Amino acid sequence: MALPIMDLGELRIEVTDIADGPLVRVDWRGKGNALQPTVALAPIFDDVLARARAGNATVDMHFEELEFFNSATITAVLHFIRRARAERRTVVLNYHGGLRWQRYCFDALAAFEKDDGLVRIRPLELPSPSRA
Amino acid sequence: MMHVELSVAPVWSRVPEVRDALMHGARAVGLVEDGAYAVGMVVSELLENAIKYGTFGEGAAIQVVVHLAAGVARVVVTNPVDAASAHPHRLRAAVARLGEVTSPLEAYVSRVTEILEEPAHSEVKPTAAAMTLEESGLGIFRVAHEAESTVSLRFLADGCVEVSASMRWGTTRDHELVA
Repeated sequence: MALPIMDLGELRIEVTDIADGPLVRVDWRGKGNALQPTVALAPIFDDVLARARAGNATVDMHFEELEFFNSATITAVLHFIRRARAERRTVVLNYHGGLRWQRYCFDALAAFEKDDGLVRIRPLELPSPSRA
Repeated sequence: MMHVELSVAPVWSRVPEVRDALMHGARAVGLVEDGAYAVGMVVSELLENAIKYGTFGEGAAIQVVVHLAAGVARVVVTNPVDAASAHPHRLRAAVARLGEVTSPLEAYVSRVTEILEEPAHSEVKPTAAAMTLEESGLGIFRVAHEAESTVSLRFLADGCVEVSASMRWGTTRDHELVA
């Protein structure tokens, strides 16, 4: 399928289909600084949802290698969750449990883990990233 | 101790440059990583708001002040604003909301809930025209919640708005200014 990788300034998003699950894995790396991320990310989010729909797959988002994202990019992710929910698609948000900023950001979303299991927030126990 | 005053052109590409430079500066004077990150995030969010919603004549700029001293970090961002626009009202409302809740987390979660519960537009693709400002209203709440900061607002006589965020470091290991 098209758009397996999107580079948006310092942000790179990579999409991989994983048969075991099945999952559509979305890896976020770098820094999300965009002025209009909802618009800029729409093509890749469309692609992710199309893959999930076609494969009846869970969307498995990985933020643990993300270095920064602005609140507009967080909002774009929330809009994606909203769209996925409307389609009854499960979204798992994996984050680096050892990074304070990621804990604060994603723990706040734990309130949206409902009984329907459509949104899951998962801290990963990982070594602290080294910084140059 | 660190005191930096910058005049920043209202250009989007300056945001990550200023954020990263001030983060490095905060680390250089001994702020622990989480504190330096919080300062950078606050600078970034406030600068983004200033660029998005400020009103800039020719040569006008955004003033950014970062002050780190024993136990306290303060970020102040000042920019010209159109008093008749919706932005001053939204800013006042956001800061007032922070004063009404029991914790910044409550305000943040409340805003996230609103975003998640807005009508879904799964068949409507966002367009640049429809989303000119990407106005989520999340930034101020994130600044208060994630940086554990006190946010305040002043409208100045010269038509500028000044948003400041004060953070205290030193009560926990994570928040200790070691310089």
